[in-house]
Amino acid sequence: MQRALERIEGPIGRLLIVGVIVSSLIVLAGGVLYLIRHGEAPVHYHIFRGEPVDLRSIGGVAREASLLTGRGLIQFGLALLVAVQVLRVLLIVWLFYAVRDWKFVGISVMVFAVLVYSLFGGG
Amino acid sequence: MNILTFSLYLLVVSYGAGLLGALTGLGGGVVLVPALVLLFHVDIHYAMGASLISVIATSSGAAAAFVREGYTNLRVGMFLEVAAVVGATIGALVAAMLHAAVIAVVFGVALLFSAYLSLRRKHKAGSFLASHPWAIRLGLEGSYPDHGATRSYRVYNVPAGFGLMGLAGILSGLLGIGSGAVKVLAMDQAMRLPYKVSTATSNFIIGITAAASAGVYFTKGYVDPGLTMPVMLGALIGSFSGARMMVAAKSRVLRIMFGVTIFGLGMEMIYSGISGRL
Repeated sequence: MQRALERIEGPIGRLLIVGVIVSSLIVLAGGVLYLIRHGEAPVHYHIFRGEPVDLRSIGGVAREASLLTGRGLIQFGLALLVAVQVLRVLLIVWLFYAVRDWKFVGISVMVFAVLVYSLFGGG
Repeated sequence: MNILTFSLYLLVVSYGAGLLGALTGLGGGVVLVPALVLLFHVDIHYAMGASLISVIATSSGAAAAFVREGYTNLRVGMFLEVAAVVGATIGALVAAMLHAAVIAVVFGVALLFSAYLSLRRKHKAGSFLASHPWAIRLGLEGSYPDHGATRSYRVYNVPAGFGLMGLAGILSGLLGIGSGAVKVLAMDQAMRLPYKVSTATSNFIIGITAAASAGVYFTKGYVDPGLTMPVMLGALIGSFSGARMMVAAKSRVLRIMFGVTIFGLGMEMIYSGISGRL
């Protein structure tokens, strides 16, 4: 059973690599836009004000990103990176299902459930 | 200082943190937050947001490599992750209620503890005793490649590992770090997994744990795109170059250097928190 699991672990590695590369390219593109437009502005990170509402929710980030604002695009890339982690857990659920390891299907579903709760209901 | 210059400095420092994190296997988060707070005078909440996201990026990159090489124990990882995600959710919610100075002091104590751990690492040798009953029931035992041969290993003290992993999750959510040191401690010291399996499995689950806190961090507004962008990119590139150098570097010397550095940072964080400079 251990070996059967190892054989199908490949997709997790590929998802991670592709996810990290795609999201950091989006972050980089957003960063270039942001620096071109606001690079000359002064820095203000010593006081915590929290982000504007649009950069805190999935809908808001998607809207900002579609307007191609630098900050919106960066935030979209960062959110994508988090989404890849959720996808990864779903993929693991499927891997355990593929080898009919029901205990670990249950354990992975538990991890998935807590993750979804904290991402959408915990704040 | 304008944003462009500030971003370039951040990129360089985060590169260094990512490099050091990969070389020592302890992750960059524990260095990133103090660097941002003490050197760049960034508010600790923003620093935690930037660090947490960077931790997800670097650990995902490392995890991909380890999974391919066959060191990761997926069952151990997912079982322990149940405790870690619950801890991370609680930690992130608690962080939202604490004053910056309190977080700084807790962070400092965590740094001192990590310094202690990295300076006195002793690996407990494998034993001939049978695995812990939970490990047998869950099928946690595994094997890993070692110089062309396949070595199998047993798994001990599962409850202690599970408890430590819950603590690692709380610290991760509370401080915006990956808690790699505590995760490796849980697996390598408590459960007595081989060191390589422990670090690989730790890297594998760090991203998932951090994602559990990320939801809270995003909705509370801790993740600033302008700040996180150079930090995440720098740390990611740093960790990739660190992974390449891994073979050549003397890990003992590095570990001592790292331990001394985070000890200093820990003292400084505690002092900043207590003296009210934050």
